Amino acid sequence: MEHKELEDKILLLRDGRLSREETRLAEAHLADCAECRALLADAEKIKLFAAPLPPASDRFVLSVMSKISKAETESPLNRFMSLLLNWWVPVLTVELAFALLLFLLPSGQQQDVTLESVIGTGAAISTADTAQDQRASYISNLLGVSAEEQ
Amino acid sequence: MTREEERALIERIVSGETQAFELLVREHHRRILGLCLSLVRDTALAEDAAQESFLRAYNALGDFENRSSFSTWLSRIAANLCLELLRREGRRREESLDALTENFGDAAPALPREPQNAARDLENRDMAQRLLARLAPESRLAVTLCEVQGFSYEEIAEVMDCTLDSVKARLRRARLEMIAEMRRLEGRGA
Repeated sequence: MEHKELEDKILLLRDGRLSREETRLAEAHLADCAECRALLADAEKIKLFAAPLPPASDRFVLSVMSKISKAETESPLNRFMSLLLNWWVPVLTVELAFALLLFLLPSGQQQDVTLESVIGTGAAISTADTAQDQRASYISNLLGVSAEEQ
Repeated sequence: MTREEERALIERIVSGETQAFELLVREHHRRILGLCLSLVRDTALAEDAAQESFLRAYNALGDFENRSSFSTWLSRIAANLCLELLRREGRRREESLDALTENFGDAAPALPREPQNAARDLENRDMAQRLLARLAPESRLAVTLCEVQGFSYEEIAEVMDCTLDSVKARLRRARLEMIAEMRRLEGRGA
């Protein structure tokens, strides 16, 4: 094995990543090459450079668990708020708008308002009844639907 | 804790036994704290990052598939968090020889040549950390995972989301860089 090639392999040798044959060749080369021995020795020193693991810390563990516990107790509220904003608020808004519509109608006409009349199908409106025609016209105007479209 | 025990513990946590997570934190916090410390090199920041890593792990525990060990998975979360932190805050500092000179005086480029003194200096943890700090974050991560955490090349590849060849290349480059710097500081290098 050439010197340059071994130099590249020496760190792998240290980590036990060479095949048996490569290890044999590398060790044979090391016996004769002071430069590679120095490289291997320096590679060993690197281990000293790495900081040792910090000591166990109860404070750290308790702090993590406290944060988790806090997040857990807050999450039902967050879920409620999310449900409120994403679902209940739109539904309540539509219902409120419909209630407001009923409220704004003249009191005598409220009992004849049906969903069909509001959405403009006209199915529930009898053409024979003039009063109902007027109510349908009123609702259509309110919703911005022209008489021709009906 | 064996992998089986860990798996059973994770199942308990996922099914709602929150407090059981404390056992995992106790088991892994030194390792994760050490990893964060090696990467961000600031005690307070490292502790924040380590705590955040555990919180993220807790929140994602349902997604943990047992394909890797919990330790590897957690290390990956912590490593990504720290690298993200370093990128975001621009904390990667190439500490030059000038910075060492600032701390060690004008004698820094010519540290004692006597073996005993040189060895003493090399064992100086502060100086050692400064050498580690010269590495790019990814190289520092590879060296830390290998030298401190004792991860195999395969595990490092998993944590760093790269190939085995890439792990070998990064480790080789990082170590040669450290050796060159070490020799220079000892006054025996180029």
